[in-house]
Amino acid sequence: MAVKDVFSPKPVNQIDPKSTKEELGEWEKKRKEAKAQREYMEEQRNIDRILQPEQPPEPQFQVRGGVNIDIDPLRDAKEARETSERVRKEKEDEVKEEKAKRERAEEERRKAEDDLKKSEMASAIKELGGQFATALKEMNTKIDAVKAGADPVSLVSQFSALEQLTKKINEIRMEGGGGVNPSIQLEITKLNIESARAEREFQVKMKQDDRNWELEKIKLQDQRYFKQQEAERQQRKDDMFASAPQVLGGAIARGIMEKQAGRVSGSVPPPTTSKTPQHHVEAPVGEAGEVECAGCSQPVAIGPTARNAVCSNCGMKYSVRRIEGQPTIEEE
Amino acid sequence: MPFEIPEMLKEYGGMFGRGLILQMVPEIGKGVLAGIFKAEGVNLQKATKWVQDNVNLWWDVFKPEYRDGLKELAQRGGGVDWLTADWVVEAIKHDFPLVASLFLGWKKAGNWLTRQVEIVKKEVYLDNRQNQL
Repeated sequence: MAVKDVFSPKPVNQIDPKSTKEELGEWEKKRKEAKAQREYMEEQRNIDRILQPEQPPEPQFQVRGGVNIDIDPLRDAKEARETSERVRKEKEDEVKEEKAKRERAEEERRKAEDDLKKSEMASAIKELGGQFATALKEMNTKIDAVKAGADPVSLVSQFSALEQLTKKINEIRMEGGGGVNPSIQLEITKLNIESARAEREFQVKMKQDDRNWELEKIKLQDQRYFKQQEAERQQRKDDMFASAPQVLGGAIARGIMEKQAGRVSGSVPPPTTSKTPQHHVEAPVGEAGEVECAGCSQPVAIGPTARNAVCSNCGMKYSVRRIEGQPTIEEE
Repeated sequence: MPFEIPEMLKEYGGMFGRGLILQMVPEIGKGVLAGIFKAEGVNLQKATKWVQDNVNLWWDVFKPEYRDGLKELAQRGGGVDWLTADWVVEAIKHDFPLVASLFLGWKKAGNWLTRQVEIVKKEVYLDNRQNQL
Protein backbone atom coordinates (compact mmCIF):
# COMPACT_ATOMS: atom_id res chain seq x y z
CA MET A 1 0.00 0.00 0.00
CA ALA A 2 1.27 3.37 -1.02
CA VAL A 3 1.83 5.76 1.76
CA LYS A 4 0.11 8.99 1.56
CA ASP A 5 2.18 12.05 1.75
CA VAL A 6 0.38 14.22 4.32
CA PHE A 7 3.06 16.79 4.62
CA SER A 8 2.77 18.13 1.13
CA PRO A 9 -0.84 19.23 0.68
CA LYS A 10 -2.44 18.55 -2.61
CA PRO A 11 -4.09 21.51 -4.25
CA VAL A 12 -7.87 21.03 -4.50
CA ASN A 13 -8.63 23.61 -7.05
CA GLN A 14 -6.06 24.23 -9.62
CA ILE A 15 -6.41 27.82 -10.76
CA ASP A 16 -4.41 28.79 -13.71
CA PRO A 17 -3.42 32.48 -13.20
CA LYS A 18 -3.26 33.04 -16.91
CA SER A 19 -6.78 31.75 -17.50
CA THR A 20 -8.09 33.78 -14.50
CA LYS A 21 -6.63 36.89 -15.96
CA GLU A 22 -8.36 36.12 -19.20
CA GLU A 23 -11.69 35.56 -17.46
CA LEU A 24 -11.25 38.80 -15.59
CA GLY A 25 -10.49 40.46 -18.83
CA GLU A 26 -13.72 39.04 -20.20
CA TRP A 27 -15.76 40.42 -17.33
CA GLU A 28 -13.99 43.73 -17.62
CA LYS A 29 -14.85 43.82 -21.26
CA LYS A 30 -18.44 42.99 -20.55
CA ARG A 31 -18.59 45.64 -17.87
CA LYS A 32 -17.23 48.20 -20.27
CA GLU A 33 -19.67 47.15 -22.93
CA ALA A 34 -22.60 47.43 -20.55
CA LYS A 35 -21.41 50.84 -19.44
CA ALA A 36 -21.01 51.96 -23.01
CA GLN A 37 -24.47 50.68 -23.84
CA ARG A 38 -25.96 52.49 -20.88
CA GLU A 39 -24.26 55.72 -21.90
CA TYR A 40 -25.42 55.21 -25.43
CA MET A 41 -29.03 54.75 -24.31
CA GLU A 42 -28.76 57.87 -22.17
CA GLU A 43 -27.47 59.85 -25.10
CA GLN A 44 -30.24 58.51 -27.30
CA ARG A 45 -32.80 59.60 -24.75
CA ASN A 46 -31.29 63.09 -24.56
CA ILE A 47 -31.32 63.35 -28.32
CA ASP A 48 -34.97 62.26 -28.42
CA ARG A 49 -35.79 64.81 -25.76
CA ILE A 50 -34.17 67.57 -27.76
CA LEU A 51 -35.74 66.49 -31.04
CA GLN A 52 -39.19 65.95 -29.53
CA PRO A 53 -39.51 68.27 -26.57
CA GLU A 54 -42.41 67.78 -24.20
CA GLN A 55 -45.44 69.82 -25.04
CA PRO A 56 -45.96 72.61 -22.53
CA PRO A 57 -49.16 72.36 -20.56
CA GLU A 58 -52.13 74.07 -22.06
CA PRO A 59 -52.65 77.55 -20.69
CA GLN A 60 -55.57 78.04 -18.44
CA PHE A 61 -58.69 79.60 -19.67
CA GLN A 62 -58.14 83.22 -20.61
CA VAL A 63 -60.46 85.92 -21.69
CA ARG A 64 -59.01 88.12 -24.39
CA GLY A 65 -60.21 90.88 -26.58
CA GLY A 66 -63.11 93.18 -26.21
CA VAL A 67 -66.66 92.49 -25.28
CA ASN A 68 -69.32 92.98 -27.90
CA ILE A 69 -72.53 93.70 -26.18
CA ASP A 70 -75.60 94.34 -28.22
CA ILE A 71 -77.67 96.00 -25.55
CA ASP A 72 -78.77 99.49 -26.33
CA PRO A 73 -81.20 100.71 -23.66
CA LEU A 74 -82.27 103.67 -25.81
CA ARG A 75 -83.01 101.46 -28.77
CA ASP A 76 -84.87 98.94 -26.63
CA ALA A 77 -86.84 101.68 -24.90
CA LYS A 78 -87.69 103.15 -28.30
CA GLU A 79 -88.77 99.76 -29.63
CA ALA A 80 -90.89 99.12 -26.56
CA ARG A 81 -92.49 102.53 -26.93
CA GLU A 82 -93.18 101.97 -30.66
CA THR A 83 -94.66 98.54 -29.99
CA SER A 84 -96.95 99.91 -27.30
CA GLU A 85 -98.02 102.74 -29.65
CA ARG A 86 -98.72 100.35 -32.47
CA VAL A 87 -100.78 98.02 -30.28
CA ARG A 88 -102.69 100.97 -28.89
CA LYS A 89 -103.49 102.26 -32.37
CA GLU A 90 -104.65 98.83 -33.51
CA LYS A 91 -106.95 98.57 -30.52
CA GLU A 92 -108.34 102.02 -31.17
CA ASP A 93 -109.00 101.19 -34.82
CA GLU A 94 -110.80 98.01 -33.81
CA VAL A 95 -112.95 99.94 -31.36
CA LYS A 96 -113.80 102.53 -34.01
CA GLU A 97 -114.73 99.83 -36.51
CA GLU A 98 -116.98 98.14 -34.00
CA LYS A 99 -118.70 101.44 -33.22
CA ALA A 100 -119.23 102.22 -36.89
CA LYS A 101 -120.68 98.74 -37.49
CA ARG A 102 -123.02 99.11 -34.58
CA GLU A 103 -124.18 102.52 -35.73
CA ARG A 104 -124.79 101.24 -39.22
CA ALA A 105 -126.83 98.32 -37.87
CA GLU A 106 -128.80 100.73 -35.68
CA GLU A 107 -129.54 102.98 -38.63
CA GLU A 108 -130.70 100.13 -40.77
CA ARG A 109 -132.96 98.92 -38.02
CA ARG A 110 -134.47 102.36 -37.57
CA LYS A 111 -134.92 102.68 -41.30
CA ALA A 112 -136.68 99.33 -41.45
CA GLU A 113 -138.93 100.34 -38.56
CA ASP A 114 -139.80 103.63 -40.22
CA ASP A 115 -140.57 101.91 -43.50
CA LEU A 116 -142.79 99.42 -41.70
CA LYS A 117 -144.63 102.16 -39.88
CA LYS A 118 -145.07 104.14 -43.07
CA SER A 119 -146.45 101.16 -44.94
CA GLU A 120 -148.78 100.40 -42.06
CA MET A 121 -149.97 103.98 -41.95
CA ALA A 122 -150.54 103.94 -45.68
CA SER A 123 -152.54 100.72 -45.52
CA ALA A 124 -154.51 102.00 -42.52
CA ILE A 125 -155.34 105.23 -44.29
CA LYS A 126 -156.33 103.29 -47.37
CA GLU A 127 -158.63 101.10 -45.31
CA LEU A 128 -160.04 104.09 -43.61
CA GLY A 129 -160.68 105.75 -46.92
CA GLY A 130 -162.38 102.58 -48.11
CA GLN A 131 -164.60 102.42 -45.05
CA PHE A 132 -165.44 106.09 -45.35
CA ALA A 133 -166.41 105.62 -48.97
CA THR A 134 -168.58 102.64 -48.03
CA ALA A 135 -170.23 104.59 -45.25
CA LEU A 136 -170.85 107.49 -47.60
CA LYS A 137 -172.35 105.17 -50.15
CA GLU A 138 -174.69 103.74 -47.52
CA MET A 139 -175.67 107.20 -46.49
CA ASN A 140 -176.41 108.14 -50.06
CA THR A 141 -178.42 104.97 -50.49
CA LYS A 142 -180.42 105.79 -47.43
CA ILE A 143 -180.93 109.34 -48.57
CA ASP A 144 -182.01 108.10 -51.96
CA ALA A 145 -184.37 105.66 -50.30
CA VAL A 146 -185.80 108.43 -48.20
CA LYS A 147 -186.15 110.60 -51.25
CA ALA A 148 -187.90 107.74 -53.08
CA GLY A 149 -190.49 107.60 -50.36
CA ALA A 150 -189.03 104.80 -48.31
CA ASP A 151 -189.45 104.69 -44.66
CA PRO A 152 -188.53 108.26 -43.58
CA VAL A 153 -185.65 108.29 -41.14
CA SER A 154 -185.84 110.94 -38.46
CA LEU A 155 -183.17 113.61 -38.18
CA VAL A 156 -182.12 112.29 -34.81
CA SER A 157 -181.57 108.82 -36.07
CA GLN A 158 -179.65 110.22 -39.02
CA PHE A 159 -177.55 112.33 -36.75
CA SER A 160 -176.88 109.40 -34.43
CA ALA A 161 -175.94 107.25 -37.43
CA LEU A 162 -173.60 109.98 -38.55
CA GLU A 163 -172.13 110.24 -35.07
CA GLN A 164 -171.53 106.52 -34.91
CA LEU A 165 -169.95 106.66 -38.30
CA THR A 166 -167.69 109.46 -37.18
CA LYS A 167 -166.78 107.52 -34.05
CA LYS A 168 -165.96 104.53 -36.14
CA ILE A 169 -163.84 106.60 -38.44
CA ASN A 170 -162.00 108.06 -35.43
CA GLU A 171 -161.43 104.62 -33.99
CA ILE A 172 -160.07 103.38 -37.26
CA ARG A 173 -157.86 106.44 -37.52
CA MET A 174 -156.46 105.91 -33.98
CA GLU A 175 -155.81 102.28 -34.67
CA GLY A 176 -154.16 103.08 -38.00
CA GLY A 177 -151.88 105.88 -36.48
CA GLY A 178 -150.72 104.18 -33.20
CA GLY A 179 -151.30 100.48 -33.69
CA VAL A 180 -149.17 98.03 -35.67
CA ASN A 181 -149.59 94.54 -36.92
CA PRO A 182 -148.68 92.11 -34.03
CA SER A 183 -146.27 90.09 -36.16
CA ILE A 184 -144.43 93.23 -37.13
CA GLN A 185 -144.46 94.34 -33.49
CA LEU A 186 -142.90 91.02 -32.61
CA GLU A 187 -140.24 91.47 -35.26
CA ILE A 188 -139.47 94.95 -33.98
CA THR A 189 -139.24 93.67 -30.41
CA LYS A 190 -136.93 90.89 -31.60
CA LEU A 191 -134.73 93.46 -33.33
CA ASN A 192 -134.66 95.59 -30.17
CA ILE A 193 -133.61 92.61 -28.10
CA GLU A 194 -130.94 91.71 -30.64
CA SER A 195 -129.61 95.24 -30.64
CA ALA A 196 -129.55 95.35 -26.80
CA ARG A 197 -127.68 92.05 -26.73
CA ALA A 198 -125.19 93.29 -29.32
CA GLU A 199 -124.70 96.45 -27.26
CA ARG A 200 -124.01 94.41 -24.11
CA GLU A 201 -121.57 92.16 -25.89
CA PHE A 202 -119.80 95.16 -27.30
CA GLN A 203 -119.47 96.73 -23.86
CA VAL A 204 -118.08 93.51 -22.42
CA LYS A 205 -115.60 93.22 -25.28
CA MET A 206 -114.52 96.83 -24.79
CA LYS A 207 -113.89 96.18 -21.06
CA GLN A 208 -111.96 93.03 -21.87
CA ASP A 209 -109.87 94.88 -24.43
CA ASP A 210 -109.15 97.66 -21.97
CA ARG A 211 -108.05 95.15 -19.37
CA ASN A 212 -105.82 93.33 -21.87
CA TRP A 213 -104.34 96.62 -22.94
CA GLU A 214 -103.49 97.55 -19.36
CA LEU A 215 -101.85 94.16 -18.83
CA GLU A 216 -99.89 94.58 -22.06
CA LYS A 217 -98.72 98.00 -20.95
CA ILE A 218 -97.55 96.65 -17.58
CA LYS A 219 -95.74 93.80 -19.33
CA LEU A 220 -93.97 96.19 -21.70
CA GLN A 221 -92.99 98.47 -18.81
CA ASP A 222 -91.56 95.50 -16.90
CA GLN A 223 -89.60 94.41 -19.97
CA ARG A 224 -88.19 97.88 -20.38
CA TYR A 225 -87.20 98.00 -16.70
CA PHE A 226 -85.47 94.60 -16.86
CA LYS A 227 -83.61 95.60 -20.00
CA GLN A 228 -82.47 98.82 -18.36
CA GLN A 229 -81.23 96.90 -15.33
CA GLU A 230 -79.44 94.43 -17.59
CA ALA A 231 -77.80 97.25 -19.49
CA GLU A 232 -76.66 98.94 -16.26
CA ARG A 233 -75.24 95.67 -14.94
CA GLN A 234 -73.39 95.06 -18.18
CA GLN A 235 -72.07 98.61 -18.12
CA ARG A 236 -70.67 98.09 -14.61
CA LYS A 237 -69.02 94.85 -15.71
CA ASP A 238 -67.54 96.57 -18.74
CA ASP A 239 -66.19 99.37 -16.58
CA MET A 240 -64.51 96.83 -14.34
CA PHE A 241 -62.93 95.07 -17.28
CA ALA A 242 -61.96 98.36 -18.86
CA SER A 243 -60.29 99.59 -15.68
CA ALA A 244 -58.29 96.37 -15.21
CA PRO A 245 -55.57 97.33 -17.73
CA GLN A 246 -55.30 100.78 -16.12
CA VAL A 247 -54.86 99.22 -12.70
CA LEU A 248 -52.35 96.80 -14.15
CA GLY A 249 -50.49 99.56 -15.91
CA GLY A 250 -50.45 101.66 -12.74
CA ALA A 251 -49.04 98.78 -10.75
CA ILE A 252 -46.35 98.12 -13.36
CA ALA A 253 -45.45 101.80 -13.53
CA ARG A 254 -45.20 102.00 -9.74
CA GLY A 255 -43.02 98.92 -9.72
CA ILE A 256 -40.71 100.32 -12.36
CA MET A 257 -40.40 103.65 -10.53
CA GLU A 258 -39.72 101.93 -7.25
CA LYS A 259 -37.07 99.78 -8.87
CA GLN A 260 -35.41 102.83 -10.27
CA ALA A 261 -35.46 104.35 -6.81
CA GLY A 262 -33.45 101.35 -5.63
CA ARG A 263 -36.15 99.40 -3.77
CA VAL A 264 -36.46 95.61 -4.14
CA SER A 265 -39.85 94.31 -5.25
CA GLY A 266 -41.62 91.87 -3.03
CA SER A 267 -39.81 92.85 0.11
CA VAL A 268 -41.12 95.86 1.92
CA PRO A 269 -39.05 97.92 4.29
CA PRO A 270 -41.10 98.65 7.35
CA PRO A 271 -42.30 102.22 7.65
CA THR A 272 -39.65 104.32 9.31
CA THR A 273 -40.59 104.90 12.89
CA SER A 274 -40.45 108.46 13.97
CA LYS A 275 -37.94 109.42 16.63
CA THR A 276 -39.96 112.46 17.64
CA PRO A 277 -41.90 112.28 20.89
CA GLN A 278 -44.64 109.66 21.07
CA HIS A 279 -48.13 110.80 20.28
CA HIS A 280 -51.11 109.67 22.24
CA VAL A 281 -54.60 109.21 20.94
CA GLU A 282 -57.65 108.98 23.10
CA ALA A 283 -60.36 106.73 21.78
CA PRO A 284 -63.64 105.44 23.19
CA VAL A 285 -63.54 101.94 24.62
CA GLY A 286 -64.35 99.22 22.11
CA GLU A 287 -64.73 101.60 19.18
CA ALA A 288 -62.79 101.96 15.96
CA GLY A 289 -62.04 105.35 14.50
CA GLU A 290 -59.61 107.46 12.55
CA VAL A 291 -57.49 110.49 13.26
CA GLU A 292 -55.35 112.77 11.16
CA CYS A 293 -51.64 112.13 11.27
CA ALA A 294 -49.74 114.98 12.93
CA GLY A 295 -46.82 114.45 10.58
CA CYS A 296 -48.32 114.06 7.12
CA SER A 297 -52.06 114.73 7.62
CA GLN A 298 -52.94 111.29 6.24
CA PRO A 299 -55.77 109.41 7.95
CA VAL A 300 -54.65 106.94 10.63
CA ALA A 301 -56.94 104.06 11.61
CA ILE A 302 -57.55 102.93 15.18
CA GLY A 303 -58.86 99.41 15.73
CA PRO A 304 -61.62 98.74 18.28
CA THR A 305 -59.23 97.06 20.73
CA ALA A 306 -55.97 98.51 19.42
CA ARG A 307 -53.40 99.93 21.79
CA ASN A 308 -51.32 101.43 19.03
CA ALA A 309 -51.87 103.14 15.72
CA VAL A 310 -49.38 103.63 12.89
CA CYS A 311 -49.56 106.00 9.94
CA SER A 312 -49.12 103.96 6.75
CA ASN A 313 -47.55 106.94 4.96
CA CYS A 314 -44.89 108.26 7.31
CA GLY A 315 -44.77 105.48 9.91
CA MET A 316 -45.53 107.78 12.85
CA LYS A 317 -46.65 105.76 15.88
CA TYR A 318 -49.44 106.66 18.24
CA SER A 319 -50.38 105.00 21.47
CA VAL A 320 -54.10 104.67 22.12
CA ARG A 321 -55.65 105.57 25.45
CA ARG A 322 -59.19 104.28 25.91
CA ILE A 323 -61.75 106.66 27.40
CA GLU A 324 -65.30 107.74 26.83
CA GLY A 325 -65.79 110.30 24.04
CA GLN A 326 -64.31 111.26 20.64
CA PRO A 327 -60.69 110.43 19.71
CA THR A 328 -58.15 113.25 19.93
CA ILE A 329 -54.37 113.48 19.59
CA GLU A 330 -52.17 114.59 22.49
CA GLU A 331 -48.47 115.10 22.22
CA GLU A 332 -46.41 113.86 25.08
CA MET B 1 -60.26 87.14 -12.61
CA PRO B 2 -58.47 85.82 -15.74
CA PHE B 3 -56.10 88.36 -17.24
CA GLU B 4 -53.52 88.58 -19.97
CA ILE B 5 -49.92 89.69 -19.50
CA PRO B 6 -49.44 92.75 -21.76
CA GLU B 7 -47.70 92.15 -25.09
CA MET B 8 -44.95 94.61 -24.15
CA LEU B 9 -43.96 92.43 -21.23
CA LYS B 10 -43.94 89.32 -23.39
CA GLU B 11 -41.50 90.99 -25.79
CA TYR B 12 -39.18 92.03 -22.98
CA GLY B 13 -39.49 88.59 -21.49
CA GLY B 14 -38.46 87.10 -24.77
CA MET B 15 -35.41 89.34 -24.94
CA PHE B 16 -34.20 89.01 -21.36
CA GLY B 17 -35.68 85.70 -20.40
CA ARG B 18 -38.21 85.05 -17.68
CA GLY B 19 -36.38 87.23 -15.18
CA LEU B 20 -38.15 90.44 -16.08
CA ILE B 21 -41.59 88.84 -16.01
CA LEU B 22 -40.82 87.24 -12.67
CA GLN B 23 -39.86 90.61 -11.28
CA MET B 24 -43.00 92.22 -12.65
CA VAL B 25 -45.38 89.61 -11.24
CA PRO B 26 -45.45 91.01 -7.67
CA GLU B 27 -46.17 94.48 -9.04
CA ILE B 28 -48.95 93.12 -11.20
CA GLY B 29 -50.25 91.29 -8.17
CA LYS B 30 -50.44 94.58 -6.25
CA GLY B 31 -52.61 96.05 -8.95
CA VAL B 32 -54.81 92.97 -8.93
CA LEU B 33 -55.24 93.09 -5.16
CA ALA B 34 -56.04 96.80 -5.19
CA GLY B 35 -58.58 96.12 -7.95
CA ILE B 36 -60.19 93.36 -5.91
CA PHE B 37 -60.43 95.60 -2.84
CA LYS B 38 -61.98 98.37 -4.94
CA ALA B 39 -64.51 96.00 -6.45
CA GLU B 40 -65.49 94.77 -2.98
CA GLY B 41 -65.79 98.33 -1.68
CA VAL B 42 -63.40 97.72 1.20
CA ASN B 43 -63.21 100.45 3.83
CA LEU B 44 -62.21 100.76 7.48
CA GLN B 45 -65.51 99.43 8.79
CA LYS B 46 -65.53 96.46 6.46
CA ALA B 47 -61.92 95.59 7.24
CA THR B 48 -62.59 95.85 10.99
CA LYS B 49 -65.57 93.52 10.61
CA TRP B 50 -63.45 91.03 8.69
CA VAL B 51 -60.90 90.96 11.48
CA GLN B 52 -63.47 90.74 14.26
CA ASP B 53 -65.46 87.98 12.51
CA ASN B 54 -62.27 86.17 11.45
CA VAL B 55 -63.51 86.09 7.85
CA ASN B 56 -61.68 83.79 5.44
CA LEU B 57 -60.66 86.04 2.56
CA TRP B 58 -59.92 83.25 0.09
CA TRP B 59 -63.21 81.39 0.42
CA ASP B 60 -65.66 83.99 1.77
CA VAL B 61 -64.61 87.17 0.00
CA PHE B 62 -62.64 86.31 -3.14
CA LYS B 63 -64.94 85.40 -6.01
CA PRO B 64 -63.96 82.40 -8.19
CA GLU B 65 -62.61 84.69 -10.90
CA TYR B 66 -60.32 86.41 -8.36
CA ARG B 67 -59.05 83.05 -7.16
CA ASP B 68 -58.40 81.92 -10.74
CA GLY B 69 -56.55 85.15 -11.46
CA LEU B 70 -54.28 84.80 -8.44
CA LYS B 71 -53.56 81.16 -9.24
CA GLU B 72 -52.60 82.06 -12.78
CA LEU B 73 -50.42 84.89 -11.49
CA ALA B 74 -48.67 82.46 -9.18
CA GLN B 75 -48.21 79.96 -12.01
CA ARG B 76 -46.67 82.53 -14.31
CA GLY B 77 -44.62 84.05 -11.52
CA GLY B 78 -43.14 80.76 -10.44
CA GLY B 79 -44.85 80.73 -7.04
CA VAL B 80 -46.07 83.15 -4.37
CA ASP B 81 -43.00 83.58 -2.24
CA TRP B 82 -43.39 87.33 -2.66
CA LEU B 83 -46.85 87.22 -1.00
CA THR B 84 -46.41 88.47 2.56
CA ALA B 85 -48.38 90.65 4.96
CA ASP B 86 -45.98 93.53 4.31
CA TRP B 87 -46.50 93.12 0.60
CA VAL B 88 -50.27 93.37 1.10
CA VAL B 89 -49.90 96.56 3.15
CA GLU B 90 -47.63 98.02 0.50
CA ALA B 91 -50.11 97.08 -2.22
CA ILE B 92 -53.08 98.79 -0.61
CA LYS B 93 -51.53 101.75 1.19
CA HIS B 94 -51.90 104.13 -1.79
CA ASP B 95 -55.60 103.46 -2.37
CA PHE B 96 -56.65 102.33 1.11
CA PRO B 97 -54.42 104.20 3.59
CA LEU B 98 -56.84 103.65 6.49
CA VAL B 99 -57.00 99.90 5.96
CA ALA B 100 -53.22 99.70 5.64
CA SER B 101 -52.85 101.73 8.82
CA LEU B 102 -55.27 99.38 10.57
CA PHE B 103 -53.18 96.36 9.66
CA LEU B 104 -50.01 98.11 10.78
CA GLY B 105 -51.27 99.47 14.08
CA TRP B 106 -53.77 96.91 15.35
CA LYS B 107 -52.04 93.72 16.40
CA LYS B 108 -55.16 91.57 15.96
CA ALA B 109 -55.57 92.82 12.39
CA GLY B 110 -51.90 92.15 11.64
CA ASN B 111 -52.21 88.58 12.89
CA TRP B 112 -55.39 88.07 10.91
CA LEU B 113 -53.70 89.35 7.78
CA THR B 114 -50.76 87.00 8.28
CA ARG B 115 -53.17 84.06 8.64
CA GLN B 116 -54.99 85.04 5.43
CA VAL B 117 -51.71 85.26 3.54
CA GLU B 118 -50.79 81.77 4.72
CA ILE B 119 -54.16 80.42 3.63
CA VAL B 120 -53.82 81.98 0.18
CA LYS B 121 -50.30 80.63 -0.22
CA LYS B 122 -51.43 77.17 0.80
CA GLU B 123 -54.35 77.17 -1.64
CA VAL B 124 -52.21 78.41 -4.50
CA TYR B 125 -49.47 75.90 -3.70
CA LEU B 126 -51.98 73.03 -3.60
CA ASP B 127 -53.42 74.10 -6.94
CA ASN B 128 -49.94 74.25 -8.50
CA ARG B 129 -49.16 70.77 -7.23
CA GLN B 130 -52.38 69.43 -8.69
CA ASN B 131 -51.59 71.02 -12.03
CA GLN B 132 -48.13 69.47 -12.07
CA LEU B 133 -49.52 66.03 -11.31
